[in-house]
Amino acid sequence: MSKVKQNLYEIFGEVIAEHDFIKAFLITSALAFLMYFSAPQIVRMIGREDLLNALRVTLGAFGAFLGFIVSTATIEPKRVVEEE
Amino acid sequence: MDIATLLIQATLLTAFSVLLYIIIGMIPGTDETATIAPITLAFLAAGFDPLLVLAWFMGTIVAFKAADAVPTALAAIPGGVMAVPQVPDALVARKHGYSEILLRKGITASIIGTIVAIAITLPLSFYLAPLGELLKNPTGPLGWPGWVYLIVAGILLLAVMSKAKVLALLAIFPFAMLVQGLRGLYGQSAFVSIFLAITIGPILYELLTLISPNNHHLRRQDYARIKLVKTGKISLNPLHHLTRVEVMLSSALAGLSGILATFMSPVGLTVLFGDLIKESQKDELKGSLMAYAVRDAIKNATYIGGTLIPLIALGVPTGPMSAGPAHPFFAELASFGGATPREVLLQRYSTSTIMLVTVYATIFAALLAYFILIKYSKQLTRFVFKKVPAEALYATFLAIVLVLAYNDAGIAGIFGSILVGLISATFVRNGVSIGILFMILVAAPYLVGLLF
Repeated sequence: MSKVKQNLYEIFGEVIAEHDFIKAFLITSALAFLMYFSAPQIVRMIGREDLLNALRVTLGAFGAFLGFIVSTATIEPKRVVEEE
Repeated sequence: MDIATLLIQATLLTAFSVLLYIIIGMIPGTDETATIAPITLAFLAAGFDPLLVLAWFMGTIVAFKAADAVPTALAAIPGGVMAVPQVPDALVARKHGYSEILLRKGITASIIGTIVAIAITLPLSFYLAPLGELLKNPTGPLGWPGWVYLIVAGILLLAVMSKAKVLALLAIFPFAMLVQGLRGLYGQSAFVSIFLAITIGPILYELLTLISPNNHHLRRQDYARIKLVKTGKISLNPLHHLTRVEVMLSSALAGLSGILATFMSPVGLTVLFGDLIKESQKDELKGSLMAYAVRDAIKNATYIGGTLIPLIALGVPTGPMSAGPAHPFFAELASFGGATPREVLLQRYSTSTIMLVTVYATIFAALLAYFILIKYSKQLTRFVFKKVPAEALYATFLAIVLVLAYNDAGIAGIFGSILVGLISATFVRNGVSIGILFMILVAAPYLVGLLF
């Protein structure tokens, strides 16, 4: 989406765009919960059902991290850097 | 696990945490607690070895605290909450064309703070260990364990020193009731979801304001403009960066604040000692450079001392640091069979192993962070500002909090987190220190017990 069409807001000294934030939030949450809920299948596949609780949380955090990479690659930072 | 394997794993984990948290530390608007605590908690809740998670944690502290001052020096934008008191010093330095000198002083002082803090607080922790047993026994007129008196005294002290004294005092019982009320509803003594809700509260509040019709004050027409100052090649020799007085002051105050952080707020100590140094100098530039360096040393030292003394010696969270970012180590977690990672750490490893791995991970993190920041601070700042969108970062931490809240107490945990987050943010936005809320969370069962 182009710069002019986005609604921009300032939060903690950072400018963020409404749509980009919603997009990043949907991507990271979806991947986090997808990984979290796929933990039972994954532990069954590797035959280590005793690891279910541990893997659930790790996979959830890993999903969020994947979401961070996808969002970083697809969203433009709202900063103009000028060098003296 | 033998020592060699432990050290190899600690090296890899610490190196990764240093690289990751240098980037996170440089990004403006990333609060220390909101970015360090969820990931530490995720590791511990997944049952990772507590000593290795401690190595990771020390890496995150060292890197974050050294990196958050880099954008402050280069662009007068704080990389985290703890770097906010350094902005006025950075502006003075910039006016006189001293930004690069300021940057070097900050990074070097931050490493001195780390080394002094680990050298003083870690041996002190083992020396103080007998005190820990004493603090766990019920005592006094209320029959509370000793540490609860300490934490309640800490809450009162922080409240009185807070910007909003009356509100901070008023927050104590309602917030404790909110915590205990939610635990009653969940039917279990939930900790993770409530703790994370406090950490993410201020960001959540701002983000929810975006979907309210009342958000005109946050609207902006254009992107943020950031001016980066010019820098040249910087020497790797730390002796070139600080004056003898600055080294002495940074070391002495880092040692002292590392110990005081067992009970006192890291931000409070950074402001207090930094301002004292600044006021003591007649020359504005000299005072600002000195204050900036000392604040950087104190930032690292308070985080290290505030973690290690309660973690190793006392065994209970006694201050804003141990009740805040380091609290995952004190939480009873299902992944450790209901024990705390701290208990497992002390059962599984000997004193010498804990000391060795902790000292090694911290010094390694300090040297790695120093090298990267001295060599590449300008390139890294440019990369972070140009490539990492704030949206992605906020969304990632929210997603981690949602997953952990769900894991803790199901859908109710998510709604409970929104409630706790919004109420915490209301207090924090009106001048109550977030450390007070963490400490109330820890003391909540005892505080509410006084009412019934």
